[in-house]
Amino acid sequence: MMITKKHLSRRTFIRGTFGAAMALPLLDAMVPALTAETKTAASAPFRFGAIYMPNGVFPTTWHPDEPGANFAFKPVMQPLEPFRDQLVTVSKMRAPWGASVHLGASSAFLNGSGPVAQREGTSDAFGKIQSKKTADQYIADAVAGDTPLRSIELGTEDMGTAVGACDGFPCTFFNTLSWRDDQSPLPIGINPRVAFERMFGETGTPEQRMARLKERQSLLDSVLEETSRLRKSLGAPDKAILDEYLNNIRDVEHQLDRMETRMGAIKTNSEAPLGMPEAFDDHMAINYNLMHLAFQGDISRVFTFMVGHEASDRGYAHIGIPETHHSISHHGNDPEKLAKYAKIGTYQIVKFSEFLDKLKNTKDGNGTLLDHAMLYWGSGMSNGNEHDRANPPAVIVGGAHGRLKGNRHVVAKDKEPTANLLLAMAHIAGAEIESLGPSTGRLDL
Amino acid sequence: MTKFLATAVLLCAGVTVLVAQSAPPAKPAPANAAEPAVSRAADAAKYRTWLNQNCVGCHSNRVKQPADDPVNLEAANVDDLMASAATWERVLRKLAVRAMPPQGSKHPSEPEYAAFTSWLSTSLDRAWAGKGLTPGRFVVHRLNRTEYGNAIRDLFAIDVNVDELLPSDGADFGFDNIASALKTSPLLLERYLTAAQRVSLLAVGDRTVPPGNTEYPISREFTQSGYIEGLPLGTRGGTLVKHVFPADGEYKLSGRLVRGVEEGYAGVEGNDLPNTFVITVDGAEVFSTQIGGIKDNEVQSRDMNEARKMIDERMTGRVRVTAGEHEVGYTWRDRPFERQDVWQPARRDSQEVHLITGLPRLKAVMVEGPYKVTGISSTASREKIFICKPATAADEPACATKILTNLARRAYRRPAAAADVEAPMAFYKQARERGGDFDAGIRSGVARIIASPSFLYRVERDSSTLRAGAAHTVSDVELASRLSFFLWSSIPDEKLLNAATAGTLRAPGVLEAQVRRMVADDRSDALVSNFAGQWLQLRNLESKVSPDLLMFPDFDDNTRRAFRRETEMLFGYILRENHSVLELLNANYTFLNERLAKHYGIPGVYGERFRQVKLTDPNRFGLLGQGSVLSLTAVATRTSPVYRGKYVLSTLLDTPPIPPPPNVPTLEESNKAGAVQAKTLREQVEAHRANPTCAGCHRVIDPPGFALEHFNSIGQWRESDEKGRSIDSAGVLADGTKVDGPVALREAILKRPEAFATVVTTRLMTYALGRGLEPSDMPIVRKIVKRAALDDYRFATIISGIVESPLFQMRTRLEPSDTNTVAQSREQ
Repeated sequence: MMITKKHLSRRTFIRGTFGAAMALPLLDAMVPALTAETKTAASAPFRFGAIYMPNGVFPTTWHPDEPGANFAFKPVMQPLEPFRDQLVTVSKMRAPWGASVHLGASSAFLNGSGPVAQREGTSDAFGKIQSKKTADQYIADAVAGDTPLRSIELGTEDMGTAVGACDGFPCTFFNTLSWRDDQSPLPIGINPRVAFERMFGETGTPEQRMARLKERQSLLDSVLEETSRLRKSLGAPDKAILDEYLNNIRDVEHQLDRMETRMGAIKTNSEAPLGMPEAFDDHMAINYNLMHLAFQGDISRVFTFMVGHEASDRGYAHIGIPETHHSISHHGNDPEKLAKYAKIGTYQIVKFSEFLDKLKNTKDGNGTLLDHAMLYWGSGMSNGNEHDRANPPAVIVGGAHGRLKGNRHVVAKDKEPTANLLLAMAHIAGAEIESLGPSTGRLDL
Repeated sequence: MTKFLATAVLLCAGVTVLVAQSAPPAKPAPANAAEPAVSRAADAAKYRTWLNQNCVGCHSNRVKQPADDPVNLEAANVDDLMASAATWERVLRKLAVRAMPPQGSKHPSEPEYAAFTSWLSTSLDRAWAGKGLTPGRFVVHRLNRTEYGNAIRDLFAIDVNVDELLPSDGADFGFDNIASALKTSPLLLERYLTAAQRVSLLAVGDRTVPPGNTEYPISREFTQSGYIEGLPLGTRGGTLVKHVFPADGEYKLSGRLVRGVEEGYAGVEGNDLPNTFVITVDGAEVFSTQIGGIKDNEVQSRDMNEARKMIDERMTGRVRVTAGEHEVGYTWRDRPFERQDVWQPARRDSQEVHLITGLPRLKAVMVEGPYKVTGISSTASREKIFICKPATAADEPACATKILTNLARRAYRRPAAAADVEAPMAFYKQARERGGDFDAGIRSGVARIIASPSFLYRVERDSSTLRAGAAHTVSDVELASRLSFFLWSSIPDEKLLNAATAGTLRAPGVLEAQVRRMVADDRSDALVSNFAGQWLQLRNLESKVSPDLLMFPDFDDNTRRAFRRETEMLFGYILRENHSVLELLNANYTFLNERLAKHYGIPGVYGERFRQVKLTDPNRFGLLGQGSVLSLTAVATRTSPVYRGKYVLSTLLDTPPIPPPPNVPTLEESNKAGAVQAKTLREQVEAHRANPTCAGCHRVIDPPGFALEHFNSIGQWRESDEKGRSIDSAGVLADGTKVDGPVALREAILKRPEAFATVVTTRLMTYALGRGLEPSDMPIVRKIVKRAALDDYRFATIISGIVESPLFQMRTRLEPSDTNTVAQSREQ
């Protein structure tokens, strides 16, 4: 045993020395074409992104002590200090229970509701996949404009393939933050290759790609017609299901039409990621790189990103934590575990800050991408040990077109629902929502 | 198998026979009807008193119930059982395993239990029978991605990676084939288009396809120091992939080496001695090269990056491959004498020091191309598609119609009408008008077929003359799809579809013979991997089982795969050999290869091949002695009696404990920091149970988990725990049975075989129907179990019971209000 341990420490040393020698697709080849595209845009659009971290952050490692401007950063949020001038952090809110210990934390993150129906065994077997339209989707309504992708939903791990692990609810609730409407979850994609293909099409010459796009459009037209015909001959419940299918066909039709007008600008797309990265660190980086490209090329103005699903069993061996994130979050106030818990949060904030840095260094109209974006980073609970919904982490970064004043620690009214923050962010993005789940009014940002 | 024949007789008599019998078989239905109402009322009054004595003390609204899961047996009506049918079914599930009243309260006597449960189930069955047929709600059923991939395989003889093509599906009731959970999204629709284009291209072949690159990663935890099954003998390590090549041409086939744990070491591992890297196509060597040795070492010591580039290039073979699916192997020529020099402290080779010594390992293999395309050879896919070849240009439209009609019939799983072929033919013509050749036209038509809702959705129709709420038998063609998606997770094959379209599927003996044929067919592997994979949670092995590598240096991906294989083989064997489903728990044999046998400490098993092995240690019998189940229910650094107990209660007994309430303290918290180290796991769990909030549930959850404590977190037998303290596996189950290990636990479960068989049947029925079961379904489930009991609960009897039941044979015409999945209109 001793011997093996020794090897491990040696590995860590080696990594520390040569760790940078990684081959990631840089996606740089995409940039010139995209920049040309955005230059022609009349004015810079508004961008929104929501990033969700499961299992919470211990409050005292996160929330600053003093309210207002020039607060001192606590360790987990510390890597965001360079963005202080465009940063607002909110404390003392209450996150919704969302019907279940873990599942509710993420599924209610952007709508304050989570599952609307009851869990298996206590309810009817039908129509259980119901929640509420989420804030990001209201924002997409307001800002998406003619972008090819109305919104992008990303993740790094897929709960859809897990079984017996969804608290008695359909696993769908674990697998997204985003609901297009009350019945339509927008599942996350975890394969960067798939996200890339959605954004830029499959590889090939411009002619081949255009031909494929044209065929996709004809396929949709033809399928739409067939589905409408099929629909007529069916009973009401079947009709409802096909209606949902038809709605999605129409969405994709719009998407392809908008893609067609952009196609010319993308000369090459040879740098597609090959598939699922084995290293989690690469997966994080590629996903953020793709979102940077989506903003830069105005392919999409709205994204949501689950860096992990709630109660994630992912280990963080690459930063020296082989235990799973979920088990570490049940730290039992053990100082060693608390340190690891904070380390995972900090790692995630570092990844977020690298993304922000890219946005800050990318020109966009008369400013930078970060000037024109609003990024919301948060979790559905604070102290994961107790699944505590009080005082969850919530930080908003970005200039938001000058609509958000930075360098502030906002202390919410006691137990003010996080849904109030969602209303406030939607308002800033130009989406007016009257209420959302348990909201009691717009949070004073 | 003869049992199968016997039961078939019921079939021709029609499903009504089964329904009429859902009342107790001893009494014919008319006698029931004539039974005096007074005696029923007296029974109801008697059992009301019984409930008041045994249950209502806790289960009433005077006692606080879990908010989202209340059980009020005071309010539940015994005179009108239907009014609280769901609650009564729950009561039956709990009492079937005598799990209530809780330990510490007075338990009724066994005859009392038996009398009550018999009265309750019989009365429920009778009440439902009086209501008439209720085969439940079926709605249009989207193919999930596994079914999509299998259908593509059966249509075109190609395996595509559906996990990359399509997003995962929503799951409910423990399965991912539940119609109401199979939603659509723009992402899914987009990917359906991508899949239609890609699949049609691979199936037909395409000489104009641009070069593409596919990477097949190999898990870091996959040990490559020995022979890998499927590769040529005399090789070591590597991997075998099935790849579909779109055209005859040159392809770059290459391997990438592991360069060090976590990629930290930039140089090339195993570079000190020469090793021969070999690539095979369909078993034949097509490329080999040598890496390592003095010269490579010199380059490496000069410049690691240069060495890496040089070796990557050298490990790339440019090879001519013909179109179609081929098995490509990437491996090393084995030189066993070299292995003697390799220091292997553990079986998992990723534990080794990874510098320049040791054996090189592959971390990924790639296929890039095609380049220099010369044409498209005949492939299995093309043979399936091109059932005619136009001799002249004038023959082309007729041949295209024939080809697309044939494919539409198989893909849509029913006779193809002229209207079905119009759209694919329009795509054929469009492609021709744009200058494509015959193949290009067919490819476009194929893309249209697999993008069709008739392919993507299973649609069943109601006769328009039927009133809402009325039940009717589904057509033979619809029944064929129900069968094939149940047993194969795929479309019907020619034989099944022919029987259905000929109208003979329900003729005497035909359905029974089809089921037997289908179970024997390899495609029923889908029932093992999808049904058992989800019911027993084997699918979670990859994502959930990650034992701490310091504590378990031998555990690697090979072990994980072997765990899954063992359980799948046991399940498949019981299914195909038509043994009793009880053998899932008490089989005195299992399936092992050398690796797994060593893991369990079972001598005399050599080689990579799995084979049936007779077990001598009764602790190893059945699922509760298998590494899969035991590792799925452990955490990285220790076992978890709680997870194991929960698994037994939920998966094997269908009496899941309710989830913990908000803000519960964890194990570690209820044992203040510091004290934890000194205590055994059992002491910690017991301290947790000292908290009255926790005790109610954990008194039930923990004992079955503790009974398995002699198995460590990767399923190896042990006498003492990680810290050397001896194991105490004793405990008292909810029904009062004292257990002290896996054998006693298994025997306690099998003491009531009908309870376990009911769980198997309930799960199978849910999977077969693709919907959650409702109380009205339960009389039929009970009937199937009762019939199976007469036949030792053989698998085939349960399957035939399901297939012949009205639930599987019929559907209800739904009312508009029967679903609330009404889509909203969207504004763009």
